Amino acid sequence: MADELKLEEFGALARAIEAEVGRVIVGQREVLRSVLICILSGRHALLEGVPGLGKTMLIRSLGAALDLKFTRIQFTPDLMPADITGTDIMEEGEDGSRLFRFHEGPVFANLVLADEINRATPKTQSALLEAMQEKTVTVAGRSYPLQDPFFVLATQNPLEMEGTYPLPEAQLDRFMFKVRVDFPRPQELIDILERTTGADETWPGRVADGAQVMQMGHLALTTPVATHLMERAANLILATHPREAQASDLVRQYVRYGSSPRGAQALVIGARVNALLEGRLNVAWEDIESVAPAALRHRLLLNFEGLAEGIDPDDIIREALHAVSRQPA
Amino acid sequence: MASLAAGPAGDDPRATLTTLLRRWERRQRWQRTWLGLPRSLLPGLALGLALLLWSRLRFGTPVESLLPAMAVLAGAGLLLLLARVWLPARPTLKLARKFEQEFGLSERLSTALELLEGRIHGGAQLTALQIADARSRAGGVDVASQLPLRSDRRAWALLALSLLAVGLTTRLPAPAVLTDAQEQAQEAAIDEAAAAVERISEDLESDSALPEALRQQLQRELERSGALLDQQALSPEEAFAALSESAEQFEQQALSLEESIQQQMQALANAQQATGEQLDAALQQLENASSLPPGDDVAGRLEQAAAALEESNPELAAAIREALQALRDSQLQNAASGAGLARQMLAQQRQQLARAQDSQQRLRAASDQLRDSASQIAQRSQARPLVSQERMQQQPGTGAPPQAGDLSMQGQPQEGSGDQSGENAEAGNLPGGNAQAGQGEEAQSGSQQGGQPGGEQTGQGQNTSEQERPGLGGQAGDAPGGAGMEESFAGVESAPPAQGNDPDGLGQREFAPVYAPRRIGSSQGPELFLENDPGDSPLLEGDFAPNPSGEALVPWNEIYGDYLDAASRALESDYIPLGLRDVVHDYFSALEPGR
Repeated sequence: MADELKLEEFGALARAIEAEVGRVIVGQREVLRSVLICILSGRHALLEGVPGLGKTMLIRSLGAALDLKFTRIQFTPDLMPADITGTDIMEEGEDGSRLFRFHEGPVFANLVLADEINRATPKTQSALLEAMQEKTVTVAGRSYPLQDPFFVLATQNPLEMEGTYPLPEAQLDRFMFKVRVDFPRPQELIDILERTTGADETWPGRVADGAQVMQMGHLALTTPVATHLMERAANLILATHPREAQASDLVRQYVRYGSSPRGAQALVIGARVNALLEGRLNVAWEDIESVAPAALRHRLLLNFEGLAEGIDPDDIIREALHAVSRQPA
Repeated sequence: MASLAAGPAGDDPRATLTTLLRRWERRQRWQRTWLGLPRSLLPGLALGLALLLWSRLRFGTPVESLLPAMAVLAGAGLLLLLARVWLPARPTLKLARKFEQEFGLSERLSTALELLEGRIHGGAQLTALQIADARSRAGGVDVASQLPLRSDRRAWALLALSLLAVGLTTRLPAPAVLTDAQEQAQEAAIDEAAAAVERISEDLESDSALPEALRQQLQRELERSGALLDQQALSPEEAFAALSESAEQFEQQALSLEESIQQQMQALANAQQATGEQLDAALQQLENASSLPPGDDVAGRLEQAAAALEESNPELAAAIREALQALRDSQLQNAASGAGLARQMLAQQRQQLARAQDSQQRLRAASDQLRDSASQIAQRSQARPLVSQERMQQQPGTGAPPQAGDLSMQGQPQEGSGDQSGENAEAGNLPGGNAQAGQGEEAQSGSQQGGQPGGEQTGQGQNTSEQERPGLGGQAGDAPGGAGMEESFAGVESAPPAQGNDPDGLGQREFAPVYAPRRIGSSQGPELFLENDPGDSPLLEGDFAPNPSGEALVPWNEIYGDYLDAASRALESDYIPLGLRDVVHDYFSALEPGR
């Protein structure tokens, strides 16, 4: 039961997970924290970065540290939905009778890595929709529940756009966070070379299991949030909509459509988890500031002018945060 | 997570947090009060300072009546600050949000309070820990270092400067504007003058030696002055003019009486000389004609005496001649009785002359008394000249004042060019009186140098300039009266333009002469003459005790400092032209005891 997990245990587990993954992944603390927040929240994350930055390694390491069933789906243009969900296969029984047996696809796991998700066709991508949102898979009229915990961690390459199928807004909205994986700093790069070019291979040990992860998530979601912070979070979401009074000039000029209510949910849930991970027993404004870019950047639809001028949604979010933080308490 | 330890059992966390917040609020209010104290006082003080400067320089309002107003203004600022800082009552939750932001408490207090109030909910475990954590963190806040009682040094410095400015302003010499006390003193002086006029009138009535016509003429003059002094809205200038005029009348009559007495006494002396002895004795001899020694030419000497008395006392001369005729007709009895009659008449004439001398002395005393009264009024209205000047400047185009101003020196303001000019004329008159009575020697010389030379300069073109330049006339008419020293310098300054000098080096030019009228109303009016010295009355300043012996009551070295201070104050003001301040300074330096 979630209530049985003590706060001290939450802190110890969180620190252990980060430390264990940190043995394999050099740097990328913010990425790891964001992914951990998504996992503890029971939601999904989209990691965006050029190849070779350790996205896949990060997710694999997390799977190992959390002792979760891990599957990896390499998305390609010819990948079919059934390749993800699984399919009914006719089998012949010992008595000679024939029957269809459902063979689970790779989505039936605790931690699914959807690598280069934007390379698959929209039809295949949409196969993940139901799994991500409903945590069920329906094949041939029959629904199969996915096991808890269930997380989809997708990656995509922001540079190679040829032959790719950008994720539709509806599917993007289902990812709690869109996490940017940046190029490592010089010292981090040296550390990566030292760790990965020798004969010894480091692999994280198990520090928690799926049940504990769920308990941690449950505890984190009970973190209290003051009323005025809720109001500020709502104002922040409204500030991303160009037609709202709270919208800044930047939003009015470059944003076609702002964040959905699901973005607000992601914001507050992420802030709750972040507060506990920071050792704080209540949500503070800095928690919202911390998770806002990851929670909102993929939910802002830029207009043509914004796209043409290469406006970074993070700049718009920063400005909105600044405007909301100046509002009287 | 040691920081999440719960607080002491039995302690109401909400009350604890509320108490803490209220304590912080009080601390912050004190902080704001202390910080804003100088700033709150400054506007009122600055406003009060401006008011003080304005009213003091403009109206000469006493400091004592302005300082309370300034204190009220500053107090209002302070009250405003106190009201703004201490009156607003903030709800506890707002206070919590405010202070957790200021002290970096990361929404701990507001969350805890909302949890305690049931406005939000959290897990049971987290709720208890969060409240304990909030209380622990709040208790650890060092409010003294977080909310130090800082002082705004700049504002304090400004406040100190403002107070210094107020202090200096209170020491500013007030412009010559009458204060209430001065006005009361003036009124008292006018009342005293009216009483003096009444006393003189009574004395005049009881003086039987005065000729009736002269008595009536002087009584009319006193009645006119008395009626003027009894007027309610009488200005010091008008009172001064009326008294000066009456004093002049008495002085003139005393002089004419003296001349008459002198003539009679001269005639009597001639008669004495003609008899070669006392006339009285000669008449005695004639009275005893029977015992006249043979060869004594008493008749011839008495004849010469009668001739000498012919003009001054024709009756006595006739009586002597009748006695002599009787002697020649050998009517000794008639001659003796005629000589006796002549002796009686001679004795009567001597008595009359003695009484006339007494009357003449009384007239002089009355004249002096009237001048003293006028001087008292002038002394107690020393501040008026500037008021008069301001009024003159505020009434451009009133060309008549200067004429009437000079006229009023002769005490005939009502004969000027109208009431208004008459009033201005009186305003111009008082400074002249001031020069006589109040400003000392330089004032006298001022009236001499400034008044008369100015008049002489304008004398050449008087008929035209009088018509064309009334405005300048206003200055010229005012200048001679301008507080003594100023009047004298105005006269000195007016000289160079009349000489046609060329200050800008562009060749000789003709300058309009300074207007200084010498006639009343127009060029057809009676000519006026400014007196250098109003009379023989001593120049008095201040409250002097009777000094019959005429000795100096106060050593000069003891009062020199007062005069020097007065001169220094005057030099610091704008009353004296810049270029002439050295003259004043040198004058008083020369008077320094021991030099």
